[in-house]
Amino acid sequence: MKNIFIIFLLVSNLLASSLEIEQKIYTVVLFTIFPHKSTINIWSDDERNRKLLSSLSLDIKIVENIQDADLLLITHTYNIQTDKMVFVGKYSLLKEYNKSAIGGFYWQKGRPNLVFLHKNILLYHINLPNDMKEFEEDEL
Amino acid sequence: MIFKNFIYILLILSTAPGLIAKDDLNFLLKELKNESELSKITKTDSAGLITIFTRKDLEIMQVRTLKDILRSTPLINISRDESGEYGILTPGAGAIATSDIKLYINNHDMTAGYHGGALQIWADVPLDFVDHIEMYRGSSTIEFGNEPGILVIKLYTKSAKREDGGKIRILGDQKGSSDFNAYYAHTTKNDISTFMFAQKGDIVRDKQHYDNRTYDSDTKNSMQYVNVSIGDYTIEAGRYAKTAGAFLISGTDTNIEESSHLYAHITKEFKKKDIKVELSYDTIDFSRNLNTTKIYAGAAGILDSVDGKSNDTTFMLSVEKRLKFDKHHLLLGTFYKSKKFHTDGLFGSHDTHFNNGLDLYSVYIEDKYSIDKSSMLIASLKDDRYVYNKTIPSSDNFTLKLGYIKNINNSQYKVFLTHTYQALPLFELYDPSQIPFKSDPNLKNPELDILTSSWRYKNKAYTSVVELLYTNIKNAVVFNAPPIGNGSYVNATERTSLQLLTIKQQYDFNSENKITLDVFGGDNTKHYNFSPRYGAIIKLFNRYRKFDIYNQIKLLASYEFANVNVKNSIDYTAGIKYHISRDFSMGLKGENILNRGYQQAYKGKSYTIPVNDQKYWLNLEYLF
Repeated sequence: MKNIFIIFLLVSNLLASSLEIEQKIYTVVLFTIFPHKSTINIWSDDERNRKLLSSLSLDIKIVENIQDADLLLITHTYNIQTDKMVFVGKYSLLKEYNKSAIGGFYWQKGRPNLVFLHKNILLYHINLPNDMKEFEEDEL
Repeated sequence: MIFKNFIYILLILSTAPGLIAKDDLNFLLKELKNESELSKITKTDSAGLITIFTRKDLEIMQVRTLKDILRSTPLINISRDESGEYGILTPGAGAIATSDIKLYINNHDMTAGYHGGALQIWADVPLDFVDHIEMYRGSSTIEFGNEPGILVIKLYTKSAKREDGGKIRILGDQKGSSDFNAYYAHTTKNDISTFMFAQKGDIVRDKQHYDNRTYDSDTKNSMQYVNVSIGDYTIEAGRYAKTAGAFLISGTDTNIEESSHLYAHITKEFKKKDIKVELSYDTIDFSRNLNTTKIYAGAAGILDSVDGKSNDTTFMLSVEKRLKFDKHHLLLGTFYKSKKFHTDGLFGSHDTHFNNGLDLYSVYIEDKYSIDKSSMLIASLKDDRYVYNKTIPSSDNFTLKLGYIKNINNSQYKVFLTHTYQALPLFELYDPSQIPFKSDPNLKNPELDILTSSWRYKNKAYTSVVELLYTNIKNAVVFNAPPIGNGSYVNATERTSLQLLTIKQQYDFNSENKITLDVFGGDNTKHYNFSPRYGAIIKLFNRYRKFDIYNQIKLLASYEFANVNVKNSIDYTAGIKYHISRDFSMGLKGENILNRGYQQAYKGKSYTIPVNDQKYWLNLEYLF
């Protein structure tokens, strides 16, 4: 019941704290990437993001080993050699991982930005809903 | 499993417009920007009565310089003195002492030692490098670790980590003014953040033609600012320079005043120990070359010419430690300042070379005691010991503040009692060779007793605030103007007091649209009417589709100064900005549109002069 209530919040335009808003955005992003997956294994290099992901109403498991992850949420680390799907928390990291990152959610130009990279979304067979195509970029 | 299926159905449905996808994500991103405003982190409730201009406010208002904000702030009535320098008048009274106004860029105090204030140089500082602005009234400034001031204006610069890109802005007006600025921010792989800003302006003002003279106050200015953050270190440096027509003290020819302020500020934070160490240095140059003028110059009386240069420097070292135990939040701090200045030049026939300086040693402590979850007691004590050069006796000056903040449901009540003082500007200090300025070697810092109180009510959409400020001044410094006086600075023998009241109403239609109304007024024991006693400001902020729309009306009552009656004023400002894309916008802004804005009277003049011109600015902004 609690989960349903959170989803209700997600689609309603109610005011919330910045943390609650970030939770809603990550919920939408993860639903979009993993529409059929029951448990999503995520590796992150940021303590705050680990806590934030753990607080989501989705079934998310924070893993310590990159090899066990379905998705790497990278906020600080450069030069990770991986074939795993990457989602970044910083603009410069989107450039760093432009071959493997499906997108990013980060601050740039004084505002929060949500971006999906078209070529990498195709690579991982992710279908963005039509109304989210606006957040798709061909290249950086 | 049922829950997962529910979510899946929702996602399938989301291909239909209006559910999770675009509109909601766009809404969430906008809300995140609003809710993450940096002012929510930096504002200090315990510092006094606060007015905040958020980044969104500044964007919708299409502000260009700090003066645009001062024009939009209740109780503040910006004035222009005979030499074209800006000051602040409070309702009914004359200009606030320059040292009572403290302007900060982040933690750096922009005060010039010689003037005792910052607005003389920085009133027209461009604001595109600023994220948001906080103004504190009735503050003791102990929280900000510096010399006292009862109006604190804090400019917080943009965060390099939130920008990670740049912006170019170009403005021009119908009189031929141009203003260009750009910033760029970048964070390296090693987490070194850099924010750089540069600006250049050429501002054309209305020429005033009186007394067979043309009074010119055109200004050329430029600014550079850089902020580098490396680990626990933050290094800031800035420079602002301007040349301006000398306005009413010009002669038959256009005369020029030049000033520049260069500063550097280093902060080291020991985060684990909650200790902050700061080191800063300022150097300010000012020159004035006037001929065929009529200028009051201290004891020398009215002069025909002035050709002078001055330089002042300030060095500061400060250490602050924060402690938290039980229900107490303690701030312990100390700082040392060294201020010096020298002036050389010809004041009429007086060939003058004088210098002066002081050392300031300060210690302070503040305790914020949380009585319970809804109420707090604040007690602060500070001792500033001034050790002067020359033969001026050293003095200890105490600041004491007691405060109480109580939150009850949707209301917040604040009351502060403060005893503080005004620091004398360097030019008022005694020097035996000080010609043309004269001072009493026993001139004392004026003392102030201040009572500030506010009541604030807020529900989801509606906010109501009532603020009261009472100030009593002992030993105010007055200038004995020639020919009646001898051109010296002395302490007044009588106490004077000032009362100010503001009532604010705000209605938020939603997070992007709001209307505010501020009604304000003031009186003083002598019932002076040197500036408008009453006024009101109505502001309307709107965001509709790709448009930002701003409307502001400022009403000020009539007043009488120097036997000249100045009629009431209506200053209407309006702007519209069209966002061609997320990164490119074009705006048009009109200032003093009705040409009925605030006018100022001057001693010895039988006419009044508008402080603000009627202007229409075209504005292009590009983010990259």
